[in-house]
Amino acid sequence: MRSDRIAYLFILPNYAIYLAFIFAPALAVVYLGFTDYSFVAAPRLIGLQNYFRLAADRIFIRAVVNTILYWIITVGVSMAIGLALAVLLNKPRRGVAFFRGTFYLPNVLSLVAVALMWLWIYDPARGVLTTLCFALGLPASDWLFDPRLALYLVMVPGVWTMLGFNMVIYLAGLQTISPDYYEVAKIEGASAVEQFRWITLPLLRPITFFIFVMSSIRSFQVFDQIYIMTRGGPLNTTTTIAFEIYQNGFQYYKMGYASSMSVVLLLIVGALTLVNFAYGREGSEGV
Amino acid sequence: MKQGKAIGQWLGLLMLLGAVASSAAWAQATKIEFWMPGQEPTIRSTMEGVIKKYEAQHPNVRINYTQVPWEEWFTKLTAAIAGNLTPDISGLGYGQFGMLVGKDLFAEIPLEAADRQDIEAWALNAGSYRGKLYAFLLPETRPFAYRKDFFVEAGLDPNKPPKNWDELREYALKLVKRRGGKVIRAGVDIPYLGWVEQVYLTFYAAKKENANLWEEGGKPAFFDQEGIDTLQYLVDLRLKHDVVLPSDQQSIMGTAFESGAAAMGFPKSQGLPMLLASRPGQIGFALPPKETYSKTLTLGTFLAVYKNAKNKKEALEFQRFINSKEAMWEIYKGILFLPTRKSLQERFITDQDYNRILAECLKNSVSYAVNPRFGEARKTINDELGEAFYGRKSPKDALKAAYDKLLELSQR
Repeated sequence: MRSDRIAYLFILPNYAIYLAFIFAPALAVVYLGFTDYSFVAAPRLIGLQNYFRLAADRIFIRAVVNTILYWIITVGVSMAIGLALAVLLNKPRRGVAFFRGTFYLPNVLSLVAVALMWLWIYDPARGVLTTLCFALGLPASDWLFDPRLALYLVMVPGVWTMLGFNMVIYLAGLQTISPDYYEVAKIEGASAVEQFRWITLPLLRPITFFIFVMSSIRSFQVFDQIYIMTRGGPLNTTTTIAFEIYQNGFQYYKMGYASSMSVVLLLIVGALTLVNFAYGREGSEGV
Repeated sequence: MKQGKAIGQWLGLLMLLGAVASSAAWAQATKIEFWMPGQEPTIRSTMEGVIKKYEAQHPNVRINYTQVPWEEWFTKLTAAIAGNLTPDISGLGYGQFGMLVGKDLFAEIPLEAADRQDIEAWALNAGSYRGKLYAFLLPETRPFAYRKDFFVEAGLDPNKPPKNWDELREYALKLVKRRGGKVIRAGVDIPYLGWVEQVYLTFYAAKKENANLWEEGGKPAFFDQEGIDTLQYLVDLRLKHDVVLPSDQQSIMGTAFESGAAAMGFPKSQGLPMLLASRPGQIGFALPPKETYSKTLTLGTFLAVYKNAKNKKEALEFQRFINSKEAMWEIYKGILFLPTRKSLQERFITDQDYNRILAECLKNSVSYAVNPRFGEARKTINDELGEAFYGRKSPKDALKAAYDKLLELSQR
């Protein structure tokens, strides 16, 4: 039909750009993952050698574990805090606009600036945390230089920047829930907690699904704060898949190997997204 | 009114003709693409000054200068190499040169006899591979520096810096400050994160003649008794004597000494004016404490012309100009890369108080041999040095593990 053709014409430029700059390069990366490409010479096919090496690469395995840990904790914590803030700031009260803006602000800051700020906070000699520990008579740590703590400390700015975005999306979701549900629940004698569990959470399911996917993609791509704050150290305790891709591709000139890492990352994120799609499709049947 | 309009129209026409003429001149001129890494505004202003002088002497040459921040440098240059879109001439990181020179990317420099006599041999060696010169080095070095005010505070003579490793340790024990059992001011800055191999190489070269981490080509060369003793000494400063703060050579916040959290250290020569300006009269300089030798780490940025440059002859000529006395002096004054010409040494030494020390440091310097797998080799050795500094492996085991991995890497 003519109207269909016109519609396709309108979306064609966007799809052309998507094909040229996202889909085609992604296919190229998949291909390069089967080669020993090092920029200078033409890529040479080496089959699955890169993937076999990945399976035995302790640092890459560490990066995968770190990335998954980073994803679980930052997404979980930022979603939980984001939801809690949204519920608290949903009711019109004095100062609510100020608090909404304040909590959202970290999301618009440059990640490099955020990383620098937290680097200063974590300075083991004179940073804010160390000074606070001394003032309270508590033992001060080496913070980012402590292999046991570094990964969790690097997660803090990640959560800090994500929770504002999550809060805003949850706020939007909360405001679409009809107050009639809560009125009926009140009449039936449901407590606030029961209302939250049986009305709010199920109706927020599509929103939760959206936030989960967006936050997950963001967390799996974590690079800036690793690069600025720790460069994967100490002792590879904070390295991530994205950081290893950068190191292998652009510092060691092993683009073939780095491409195979990218494919692994794509598979992990793809699998998570598919699982989450199944969860998200259920919508609000739970109410 | 009509007259004013006419004048305006003629002026506009003249401007248009001027623009067309200059673009025509530009179109006819030989163009050279020149990229430099680094984000400091002084690099741009200095290089543009050098370019202006060159263009005045060569009216048929136009140089298009691009400065790329270090954070973007590796991705940008790598993409350019992959797409065969390299500039005609570019700066290169020290390790980057080593990784790329063996891939036949750079044009050999035809050096005149007069230049070969005038440029320091160690500088020419640094930019050479298999006996051929491929790049000029713009060097920076790491003298030993100390805080005179902290010396006075600790009852030490501020005009008598430590002369050897034993004194370095004794001074560090007196200079360290602690609070609640935790070091808050290091006696000496030994960065044990980031590029640990830099401080390790400095000390290793002080213990063994012609020490290096690897031979040209990447075969490891550090697993010997001197290497083990060096690492043991450094690790003891942290684990046994506790005079060291966590410090990262690569940190964007600077090392512990640069940020005032250490009493002694090895700052980069390029950062000295800023360091001195922030703490006037408080910084002392000396050659690094001697064990058997006194050695200083010297790194810097290389300048190389690409073999596939569109205007290779002109690019080589421009490269030669950058390495001339005039341009070298201008680059030293603007960006603080140190001059490598013997004919400039007298002028250099008298230019600043501490330059005499820097000149001595350059003469007694050590730096990396060319390694085609520099990035990976550096990471590998740093991981193992880190294991020793955190007490997870003995220095001997750490160096043995690093040696085995680097040997395997060099044979791939």
